[in-house]
Amino acid sequence: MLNAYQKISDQKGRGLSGKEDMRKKMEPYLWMAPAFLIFVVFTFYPFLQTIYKSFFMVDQVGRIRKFVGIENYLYILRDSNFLSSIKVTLMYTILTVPLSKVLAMLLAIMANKKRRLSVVYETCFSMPMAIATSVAAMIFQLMFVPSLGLINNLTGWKVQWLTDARIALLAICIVQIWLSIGYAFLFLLAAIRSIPADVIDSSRLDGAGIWMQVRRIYLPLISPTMFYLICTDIAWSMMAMSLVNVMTAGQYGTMTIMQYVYKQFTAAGNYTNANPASIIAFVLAFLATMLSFAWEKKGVTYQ
Amino acid sequence: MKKTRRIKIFKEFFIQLIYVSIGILIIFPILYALSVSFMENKDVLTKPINLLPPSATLDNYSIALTRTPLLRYLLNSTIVSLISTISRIIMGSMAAYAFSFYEFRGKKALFALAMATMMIPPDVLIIANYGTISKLGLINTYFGMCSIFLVSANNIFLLRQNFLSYSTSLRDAAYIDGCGTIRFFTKILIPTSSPILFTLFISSFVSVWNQYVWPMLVTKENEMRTVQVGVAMLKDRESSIFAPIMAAVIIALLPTLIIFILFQRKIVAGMMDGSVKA
Repeated sequence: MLNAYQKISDQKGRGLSGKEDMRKKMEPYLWMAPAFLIFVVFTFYPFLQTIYKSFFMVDQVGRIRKFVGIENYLYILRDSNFLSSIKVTLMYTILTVPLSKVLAMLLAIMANKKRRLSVVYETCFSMPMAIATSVAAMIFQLMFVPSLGLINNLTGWKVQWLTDARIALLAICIVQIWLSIGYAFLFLLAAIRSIPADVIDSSRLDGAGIWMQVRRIYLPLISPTMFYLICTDIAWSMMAMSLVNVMTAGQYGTMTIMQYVYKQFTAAGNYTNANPASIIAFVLAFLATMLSFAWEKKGVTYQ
Repeated sequence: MKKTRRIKIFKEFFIQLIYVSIGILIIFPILYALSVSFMENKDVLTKPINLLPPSATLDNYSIALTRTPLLRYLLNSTIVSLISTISRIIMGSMAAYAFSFYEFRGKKALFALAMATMMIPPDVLIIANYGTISKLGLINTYFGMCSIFLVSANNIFLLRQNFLSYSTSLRDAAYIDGCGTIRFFTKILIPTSSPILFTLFISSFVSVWNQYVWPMLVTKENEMRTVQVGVAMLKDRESSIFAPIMAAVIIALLPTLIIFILFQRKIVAGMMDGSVKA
């Protein structure tokens, strides 16, 4: 594609001055410069800096004090708070990612056929995705009020939703699932609608029940979309903290890794622990993504 | 024959009824918040519970708007979302322009580097970025709040996909007509790409508007908080006064909810394109 461009510039300026030539060469870099400036300052530099500093003792304002090698990592890996935050984060992922995808898939299968009221219920199914986490947290906090809040009030339960260490994480996961269904629903609906109708019809004529249809037809044909959703969601769940921060501030057994990081450096000014903790969070998210790529080879069917 | 048809119509009606009910169940928390926002505070936590306000009142909205800086929060959110979104579109399309219309040394590597930023979750970087922003004295400033949202690799990717669909002959023709690269970019490429730009605008706006962690971290003054941060902080001060809080919640979620309902298709289209990369 450059040929024509060069030809033209050749025609225009035979004996183009060296300066002019240089300018032409620089052009693409200049177009990219603003974006890369931001990437360098707010992504690459902080990433490398966090890795670098994670090997040092760091003072309360974030300045490097003393090189300690992997000592920081060994220290937080012995810290029971941090270990439990890894456990909580994994639990959070296991509880939210599969369930939200299964529910979204059921909704998408239901909504597959276009009906007169499709627009109405499709909008309802997907609407929670437009809600900010902090706003959702406030609404559910009202519904979770133990004494006379909506849920206990209607069910007659006496559950301490957000202050019982056995329940709090589950309660937060419910909110997270509510928030993530919409996004997955829209993707899966598009995937399911792209399955040719005769494929589904013929299987129905063959007498396949709904469960059989899901297993033999829907799941294999939507597996690339499902894969994409699960992949991005796992990486995202590893970073979960907004809901936790608003609803329990990490108390009652809900401290996720990022909440731990946040607490370490805002409340305690402890950068020495916060840096290696965020690198471990990154590695876990990265591993999860790699793991799902490995799973892709086995379980995903591309047409 | 007629009878089976009638049964079929009835069945369709019944199915839609169930689906709409499930839909209402899913958005129930939003509806409930809306209802509580019109209740008097004494009617919120009662036995038996009030699903609808026994006596409707607008007091909560006036409390939310006068006793908290909610309007200021909304203004802050709007400014931050607009600056970030516009910056994402301008810087994104400039970079995408370079990646789709030029051949140059290091193109593949630079593109891979840009895409690699998607593998680093921004949350991992908040400590170091907080350090940068505070060193630059940008705490409590709009620029500080926007800083990490100014470019999106995903936008670069989508815009590049879009620009690649232009035949280079279009650009070559523009050159022959004496149209410079900058004029080609501003006068031809950007105007003709307005559908994708609009999609990106809407979806970026909603996503920046709904951000919580970073704006919370870099704002210390109440006046500078975004609406998401401000709303989440209401509970600390007035924990049991749920009715006005729900009024604030409704005001905070209304802008993105309206945008979502109006432009749902566009937002979805933008997201789907993003997924093609996988």
